[in-house]
Amino acid sequence: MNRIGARKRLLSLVSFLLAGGVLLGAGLVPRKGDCFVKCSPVIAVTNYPYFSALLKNLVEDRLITELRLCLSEQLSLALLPGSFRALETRLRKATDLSTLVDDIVSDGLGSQLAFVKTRMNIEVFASRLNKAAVTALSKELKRLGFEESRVREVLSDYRREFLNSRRALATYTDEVRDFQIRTAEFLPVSARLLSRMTVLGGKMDVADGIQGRQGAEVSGNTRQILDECAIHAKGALKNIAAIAEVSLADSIGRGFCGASGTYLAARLEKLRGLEGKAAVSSQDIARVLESVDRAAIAVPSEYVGTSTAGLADMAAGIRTSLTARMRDGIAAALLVVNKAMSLEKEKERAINRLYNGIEQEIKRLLGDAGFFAAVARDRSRVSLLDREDIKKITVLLAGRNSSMLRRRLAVRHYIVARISLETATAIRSGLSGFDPATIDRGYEDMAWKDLARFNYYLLSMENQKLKLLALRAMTESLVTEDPDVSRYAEDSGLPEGF
Amino acid sequence: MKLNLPVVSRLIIVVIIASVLLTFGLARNSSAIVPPCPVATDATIAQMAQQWAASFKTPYCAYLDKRRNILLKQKLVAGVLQQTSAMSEIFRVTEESTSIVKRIEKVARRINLKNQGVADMAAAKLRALRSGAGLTTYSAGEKAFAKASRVEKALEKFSSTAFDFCSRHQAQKDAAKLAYLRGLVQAQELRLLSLLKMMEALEGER
Repeated sequence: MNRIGARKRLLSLVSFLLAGGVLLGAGLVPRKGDCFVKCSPVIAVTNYPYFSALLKNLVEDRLITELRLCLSEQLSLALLPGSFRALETRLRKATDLSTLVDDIVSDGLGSQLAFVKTRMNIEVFASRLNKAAVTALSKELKRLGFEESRVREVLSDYRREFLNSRRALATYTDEVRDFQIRTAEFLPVSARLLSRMTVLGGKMDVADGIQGRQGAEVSGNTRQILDECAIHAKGALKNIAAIAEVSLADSIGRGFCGASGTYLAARLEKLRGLEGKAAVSSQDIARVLESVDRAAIAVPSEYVGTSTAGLADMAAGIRTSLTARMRDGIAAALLVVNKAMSLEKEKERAINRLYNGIEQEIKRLLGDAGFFAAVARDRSRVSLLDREDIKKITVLLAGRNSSMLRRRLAVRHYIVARISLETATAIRSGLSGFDPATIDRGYEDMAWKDLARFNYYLLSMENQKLKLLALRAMTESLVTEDPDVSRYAEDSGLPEGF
Repeated sequence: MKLNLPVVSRLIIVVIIASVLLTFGLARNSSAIVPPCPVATDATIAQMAQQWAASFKTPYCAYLDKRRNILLKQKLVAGVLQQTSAMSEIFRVTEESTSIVKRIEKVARRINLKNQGVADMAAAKLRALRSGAGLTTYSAGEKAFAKASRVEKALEKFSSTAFDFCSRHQAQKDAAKLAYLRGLVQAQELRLLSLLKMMEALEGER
């Protein structure tokens, strides 16, 4: 009996030791690593199609922003003015719309960032959440028939011991900050895009306006670009909001509600004992917790929605200001450019007008022998290059003893030669101040403008040269004194443009 | 109460098996400490990646297409110098007018080839040639002057400052057009210069 009892005790001891060893071994065996990884809240609370759509939108926002910036840069480079005759300060200032845009955009960005800092921070979110939770709790406690003083006491404890505790804040701080940081990071990118695209739109509008390709709307391109930027910014904010809403809802639903439930259950349990009311059952407590949870869960959506709407309103304000400022800026730039172009042509026309005036005057005096004689008898020296003496020279040419045709031809020949001389001087002085190495320092796009301009000057000079050569051909043909040529010249008269 | 040894042994074995099962099986799976993570296998990740790529492709490509069309449209915009067609038209006019040809023929007909020596005949022919050269040069000068005046008038409506406010593509087109026009003008100049030199050469024989 004793022997058997000893064997049983031994066996029991061995079996317990074995079981203990097995349990200890099981505890020491390394578990599968993935169960220790903190699961992504997004994956945990969303389904794959939703997550997929969210990610697609984010990638689209990011890549299309880059694409927009890159293309706007390319388009903007193509609209740069040439290096030669770098726009005079006044013209450059009037046509540089970036200063107008930058002012508004940077002010707008400043306001938006201030909004993010002051209205989208942890304190604001906590205040909203606490208010919603307290309101719901107060309502439920009143419904259960608790005295006003008791309700106030519970609410005060709830605020002090749970809502304002680090434990409660820790459940959503990261998510609120993520939303704030993500928005704060997006806004400067969006502002940069808006700024560059608007300047590009303005340049395109100025170009269209100068070429007279636009109808009544002066700022059509700018308007379109602003619309495009607004859609882009709105979409991107919506995506950021969607992510924030999901992660905040998850943190509130799991972390905050869980902790709040534990606290309130314990607190209400104490309350039940104090009041001694049989009416406050476990179901009542569960209902209170459910109401508070429901109120808390509704906060992220409302908070994210309000914040995004605030930012969207500010963006709309920036857009309105930009539209108005750009419309005025483009109109002012067009006015200045058109004025500069008229001035440029005016300088060219001034020489022609001066000489044509002299020629017309001489034409009237062609038969005036008295005037010719007065000039011929004048003892002062006549200078070939002096502008004051042009009239005298033309009078001398017009008064020669030859046919009217020859005299008119001679006068015209001289006048055209003088105009050519002035043109050559003007172009030479314009070109001599320019260092062609400047072209190397500019973009290829700018060099094309210069090339076009130089080709224009070359054409003007070539055309002037043709005029001179044509007059020389006519004069030299007449110099041969060939009767057939003279007869033909008298018959056909002078060509168009004389 | 006596306890049977095999029964106790069996009980011990059952206890051991139960503890092993609980440790590695049921107890582990029902653990409340570690919540289960959503299962994302390689297959589901690959499927998701395909879905993302497919759903992203359409808007991205649509945007690229839109932008490419804008760039293409920009490349197709006409230059700022719009008078080039009219200017090239100026140079398309025929050089010799019928009246000049008739006059040259008339001069040639005046050469009397009867009862003349070689030197006289040669001199008469050279005279006719000189008259012809003079007439052609004068007429060419007349026409060239008219053309140059028309070109000047056409250019009067254009200011080169416009190049600074157009796109590179427009400037490229204009540069090419201007080079073409310069070609036309230079050809006209060369023609005039050649006629003058011909006339000069014939004059040397006077």
